[in-house]
Amino acid sequence: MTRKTIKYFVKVLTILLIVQLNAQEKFTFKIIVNKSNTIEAIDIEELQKIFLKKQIKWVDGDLILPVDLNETSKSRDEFTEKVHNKRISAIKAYWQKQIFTGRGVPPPEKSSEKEVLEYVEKNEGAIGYVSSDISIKKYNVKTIIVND
Amino acid sequence: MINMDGSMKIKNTIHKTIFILSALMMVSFAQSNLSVHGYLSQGFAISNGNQIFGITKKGTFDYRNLALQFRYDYDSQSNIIVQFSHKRLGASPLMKVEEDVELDWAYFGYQAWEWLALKVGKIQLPFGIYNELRDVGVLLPFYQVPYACYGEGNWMSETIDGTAVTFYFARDTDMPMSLDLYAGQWKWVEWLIFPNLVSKDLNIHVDEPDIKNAIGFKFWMETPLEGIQLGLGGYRGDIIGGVSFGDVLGIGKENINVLHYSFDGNWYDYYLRSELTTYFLTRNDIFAYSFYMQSGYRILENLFINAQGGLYRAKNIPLTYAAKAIVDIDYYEDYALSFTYAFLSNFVFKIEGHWNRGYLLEDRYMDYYRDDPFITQYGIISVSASF
Repeated sequence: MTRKTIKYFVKVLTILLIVQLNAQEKFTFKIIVNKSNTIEAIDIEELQKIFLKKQIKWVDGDLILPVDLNETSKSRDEFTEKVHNKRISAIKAYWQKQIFTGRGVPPPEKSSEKEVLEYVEKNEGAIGYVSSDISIKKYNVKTIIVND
Repeated sequence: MINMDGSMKIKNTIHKTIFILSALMMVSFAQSNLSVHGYLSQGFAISNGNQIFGITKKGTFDYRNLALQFRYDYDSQSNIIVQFSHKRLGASPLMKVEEDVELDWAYFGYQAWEWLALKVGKIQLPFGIYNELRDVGVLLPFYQVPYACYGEGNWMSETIDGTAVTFYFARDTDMPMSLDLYAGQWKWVEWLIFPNLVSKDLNIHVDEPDIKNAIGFKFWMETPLEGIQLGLGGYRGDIIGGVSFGDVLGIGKENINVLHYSFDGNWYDYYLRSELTTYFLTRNDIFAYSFYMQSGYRILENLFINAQGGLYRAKNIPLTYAAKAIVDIDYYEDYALSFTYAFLSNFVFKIEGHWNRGYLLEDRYMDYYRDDPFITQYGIISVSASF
């Protein structure tokens, strides 16, 4: 095997590795809002603040109503890992602190993605997340882009 | 000494009545705006001989905390919160003034803007990392919050009757900050043991002095360093009555000035917390400080190992019984190790061992002049849950 061939293989492997890593970084959930919401994209940081209720209003002044999936959900796990960079237990502990210092209560937790879709459909200020595989066509909701 | 038979019973009955009425009233409100939360910790505690923190050589199951919180959100800005608690601390002298059901807090909260919140009523005293959470077992690496800095209701209050304003700054930066300012009054519990010179029995004096004209602050800042928060707080107040500055020792009126520094680091699999509190009682020129450090590491998905060390030192303590002698006291030091296992995020099992050296014993008279500090080992096994 010539030196040139080895270099070629190294390059191909490097590219494959990068592609693989990027694929792993891709979200396995999508962020949904009510169709009446004018927002089209959101930053990860903003998402984090919204789901910790550190940001409580949309730009137009309407109240944000975040909705979570319960802690056994795979999408909740993915969402917490990617958006908060924490374990679900750490987020749960954050909310325990908020509750017992009287500062706030967590977003409502739904036991299925269907319930999340229904909640977002019903509430104009709502924002939630569901698995990327779930079809949202039947519901009055839309997906928004998440910027890193 | 507190007369348990009269005013305490009346207070107890009033609190129980308020508790039942609040529960009924809250439930009758619109259901969607009402949330009910609570927590419970039940422990078994045993010491190797001396009685400390209510823990005896025989061991005690009479070691628990529980609370029930009713929160009514009138709208997105206003709420009313009422929390009741029940606490048992074994054979501790503090139990002499602890009612079966205590009103923890009851206040009206108003979020005027995103950067400003107000509270009025009986509110949590914003102090350090743990004061507002001191009994929420699922959040604590040990059964109790560190005695250094937080006491156990002893020379420390959980709440203030008054008002607090919270300002939030720089929320959109990587250094968000908050500042609590508060004013009002509170009580704390203090106890001292004296030998009866005639009968040689021990007299335990328990009293609840008022801390009046109190004002204070608490400042928190998240740093650009991942997971690290820094805090600074303090208060001043006038101590009225009590064992030390009331009729028993008769040292005289006092003001207390407290400063408090916090480091709170929380990362993915470990944490490190440390706090220092200084106390300055100006009229008698008494200075004291307490310090603790606490750290934990996740050794399995749900299993943490935690270590803690803390101490309390006081200078210029006047001993009236010893011809107005003034002494410096190494009041106590405590080192502990615990394992916490979270079956769920809101259901946690703990086992812990402590080594304590000092003058905190509750079953003997301790003469700071003549006695060396006592060494006591004690352990606690507990389960905590919340909803």
